[in-house]
Amino acid sequence: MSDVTGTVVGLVERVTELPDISAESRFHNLANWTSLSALRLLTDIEDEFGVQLDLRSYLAVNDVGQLSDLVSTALGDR
Amino acid sequence: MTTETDVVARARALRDPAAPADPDLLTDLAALTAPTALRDAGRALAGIAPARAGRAGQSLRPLRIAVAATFTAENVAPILRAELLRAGIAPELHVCGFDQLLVELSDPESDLAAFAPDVTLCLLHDEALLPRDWDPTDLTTLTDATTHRLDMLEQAVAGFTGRAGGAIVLHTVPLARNQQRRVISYGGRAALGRAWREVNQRLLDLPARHPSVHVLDFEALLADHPGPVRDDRLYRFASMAWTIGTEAAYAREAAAFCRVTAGLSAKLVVVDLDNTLWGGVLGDDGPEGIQVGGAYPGNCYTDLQQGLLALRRQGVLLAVCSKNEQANVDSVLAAHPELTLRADDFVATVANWGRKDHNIRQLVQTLNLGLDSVVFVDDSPFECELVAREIPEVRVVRLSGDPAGHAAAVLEPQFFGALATTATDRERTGMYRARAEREQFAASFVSTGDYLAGLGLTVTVTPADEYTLPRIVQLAARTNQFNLNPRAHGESRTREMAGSPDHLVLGVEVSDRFGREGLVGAAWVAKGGDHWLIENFVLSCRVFSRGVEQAVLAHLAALARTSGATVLLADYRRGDRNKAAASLVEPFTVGADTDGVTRHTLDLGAAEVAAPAWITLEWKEPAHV
Repeated sequence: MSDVTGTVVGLVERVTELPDISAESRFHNLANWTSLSALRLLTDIEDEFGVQLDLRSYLAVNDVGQLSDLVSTALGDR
Repeated sequence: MTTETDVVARARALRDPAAPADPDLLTDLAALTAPTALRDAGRALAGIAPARAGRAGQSLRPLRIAVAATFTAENVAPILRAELLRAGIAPELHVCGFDQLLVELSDPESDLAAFAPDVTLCLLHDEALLPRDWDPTDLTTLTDATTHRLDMLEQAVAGFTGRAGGAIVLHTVPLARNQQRRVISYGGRAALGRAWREVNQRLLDLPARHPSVHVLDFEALLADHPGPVRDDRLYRFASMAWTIGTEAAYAREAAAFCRVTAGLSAKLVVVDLDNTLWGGVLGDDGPEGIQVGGAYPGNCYTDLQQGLLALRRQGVLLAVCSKNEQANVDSVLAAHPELTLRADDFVATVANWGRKDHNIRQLVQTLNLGLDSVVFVDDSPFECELVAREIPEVRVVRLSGDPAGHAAAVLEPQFFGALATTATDRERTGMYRARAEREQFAASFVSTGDYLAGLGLTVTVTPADEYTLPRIVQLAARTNQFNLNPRAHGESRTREMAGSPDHLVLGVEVSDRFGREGLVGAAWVAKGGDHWLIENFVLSCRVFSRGVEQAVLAHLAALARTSGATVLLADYRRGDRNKAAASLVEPFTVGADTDGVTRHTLDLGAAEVAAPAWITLEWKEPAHV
């Protein structure tokens, strides 16, 4: 697991208050996953990595691994 | 950051009903600064009985608080919960549905009305008051529309307060940047600025017409708030008009208001003097040497004094609690030309060498106040920790770093809030001073107890060497208070004694868990066969009342006894300024007086001189003599 994926997993666990998140975890299968928890995660990720994500690309992401890829791309673009 | 994460993790751990209580958690919430950490801690603590997160006897005031917003205020409730818990309130929170503010306020049967809040926080954003498609060339229509919406808001608020008993809290509203940028002419922007300020002015006028309505001037606070008020992505996608940083800034102001409503405002500020009310040490630097007034850094201390004077004028009581000679303090407060605060601005001026926690308890008892109404302000970590530990109810302001930040450190936490002030507030100091005037504040020299045991105090005694000699000479010249024989030993005499086999010059270093104080004391001793004479002894006021002098005395007694002496003598030239040095000769027998110098005698055969149990005494060989 890359550093970025590890950090993203930690942030998802923090926002959802669920243990055992992995790169394969699909957001829509998580308990209590709402658009507001999605936005909370978005701002936490942007805060943590110092990047700004395109909201459209972010909302299109299905699982934690894809989100990690999106963050890595944003980090590479800086 | 690690500690913030730890605090959040501990809050989460309490979610397990079987988890043990965490009695320090509420206190440790004070360490949280990041809005995300406050949010996460507040979420975790929802539904947790505050008793599982606080100490026995640490009772929180219950308060029912409702949040109603014209936009999605997702994080306000959890951040507010954390802020309220650390402000001493056990909140019951009710959050109204998105954009239900007017409906919930107006409908007598609404969930909000049924909740019967003590405080209703109304959160507003600009587009709730602005017409969506306002015309920059026709601001009259814009003003008509905002006036109409404000009329509806006022009507709803008036109706709600007429039916329910609690307070309603509104706030001034910032205008989003892109609204302002729609106007291209500078004249037009000025006109828009006037129109928007009329909106906020109208909000600020509401309390005058409706006594239960209060308005936070939030727009003014946001002027130096870091970061954007709004993230347009979140606003367009989910109607979130505030970033988490804005939500946190609002929650802090709202919690401060709730603390006033719950009756938790402080009534008395107890301030230290040296390096707090002025720069420098009065006893050592003299009245002419302290920093106050004029240019930097003196003007920083003046700023703090002006802030305290403003509090005094609004009914907050001020008191001094300082390790100092009372006579010195009284004369400075009476005569120093640059002081803003004078003796009659204080209900009491306590200057002695006693424990500050004891002085505070006595003061509070005399004034008939509660310990939880006290704010204690000091620059010494030792005094701050002592007071925080011995009287957990007292709110402690630890001054550190640049004095330019001291006034903000005292005022920014908003411990002294009031819903309103009255004419009698100006007179309160005089009324209370009469009670404190007759009180004698007890002065015991040494602070004892397990607090000192937990400090990890180490006293290191070293014969003077080339490295310590300059500092010892400087200390002898600078120290006026704990000085057995002021000015008796200058540089040449000190060097002479340090090099002589018949004399001993000792440097004293002190360290504790706050860090190293460095070389803070020295002793000049004549070795005379069966009797050793302490010719002089100095100790910096930074380490008073910790038993340091007893530890050094124990070491000297042991050295003297080993070399065959049976008597330890000490010469004390007692004056007005060096009364503190009496602590060294406490175990001695007072003898004859010669030209103002009193000979003190300690029989080494009869008396066992022991270092205090809380001090580790170390002996270091000199680097080079």
